[in-house]
Amino acid sequence: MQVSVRFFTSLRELTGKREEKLEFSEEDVTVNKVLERLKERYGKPFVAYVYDKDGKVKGFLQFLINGRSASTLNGLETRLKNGDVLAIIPPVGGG
Amino acid sequence: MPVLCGKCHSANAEVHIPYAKLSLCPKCFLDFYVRRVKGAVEDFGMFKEDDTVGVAVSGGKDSAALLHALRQAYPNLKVVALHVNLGIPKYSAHCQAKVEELTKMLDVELHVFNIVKELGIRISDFRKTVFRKKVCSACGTVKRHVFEDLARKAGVDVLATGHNLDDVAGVMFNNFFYGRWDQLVRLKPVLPPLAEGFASKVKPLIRISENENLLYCLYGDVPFREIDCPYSSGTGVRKRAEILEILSRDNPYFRHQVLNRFLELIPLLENVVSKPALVKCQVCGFPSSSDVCAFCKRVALVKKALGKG
Repeated sequence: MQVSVRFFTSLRELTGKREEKLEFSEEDVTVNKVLERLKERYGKPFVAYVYDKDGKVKGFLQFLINGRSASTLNGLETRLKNGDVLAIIPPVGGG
Repeated sequence: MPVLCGKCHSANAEVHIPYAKLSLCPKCFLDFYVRRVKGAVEDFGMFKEDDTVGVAVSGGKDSAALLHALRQAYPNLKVVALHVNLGIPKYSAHCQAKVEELTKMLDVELHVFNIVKELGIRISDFRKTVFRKKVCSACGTVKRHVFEDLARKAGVDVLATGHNLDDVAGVMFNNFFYGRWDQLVRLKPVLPPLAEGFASKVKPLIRISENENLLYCLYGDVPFREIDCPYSSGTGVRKRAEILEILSRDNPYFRHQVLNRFLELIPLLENVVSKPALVKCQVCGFPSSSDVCAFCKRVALVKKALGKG
């Protein structure tokens, strides 16, 4: 199955891409699994951006699956389906 | 399974608007957003197409989205951008750079007021006064005054600010519970000029959530600041946001309901809330409720703390 990931701001600079299509042989793909794959691909800078020092995904990042916030679904364990778009929304405070 | 856009039915939806029960592709979302801004401008009669509109642009996502959307909605409108450089190391230079990038991209005239050059102070200097760590309220007073001044000098008829639905509904809620009726009535979408020669003030994003502004900037490639102000604790704002978040969980339209009910209440309150009599500030000449306006008092306070007073 294939999942598209959208990058913005710092992640766009870090990956050098606006979007990345990831192929998975298994069907059981969650947000966490996508992040693990990106971690392998982009290494330390990606880890520093997405994970805290305890290895947990930073709480202020937003993940949208086809526009819906993962926090309203099953969080980082939300299962993705073939063709889904996962957007990683950066933390932005104030206006 | 990917969801098709609820408008064009061809591209994949990437943005969900809970209150509208609508999932949209990036292009349809950007169009939807611009239409929502235009709708608010027209419903509340915020400006006429031959007015000169000044947009107070901090560099943050809300005001950046506002300037961009106004340019898309009204390509022939005379728009100028107004920016205050607060002299906060690193942060202010970053904000101004983003504003310059945005105004260049949109071909919009930019007027900048640098408080270090113009007033000889920095916002951080308020930490040396009774404000100590609570510089946000002093900063708000400085910005409100300077934007009025910039607008007047730029010949602006209408000053548009990026106050969003979350900001306004949160502050309305707070003012209601503390009985600050005079401040509640000031949250109207359109405020008349302070005096002759001043601009009226409008809030075109009053019906648009903070998250929609962020998504508009991200999907519309609108430059905006990506670092936080080092002096912003955000505690009060966060608490208000949390209350609204809890109440909005089962009702995504809740913030709009708060806004709509208060907008019905404000005209009734205006009949009973007494307006302060305004006099000219003895220092700057701006309309003020006391002999010396809040801005001049604060600037004098900082200068005294710096030994410049």
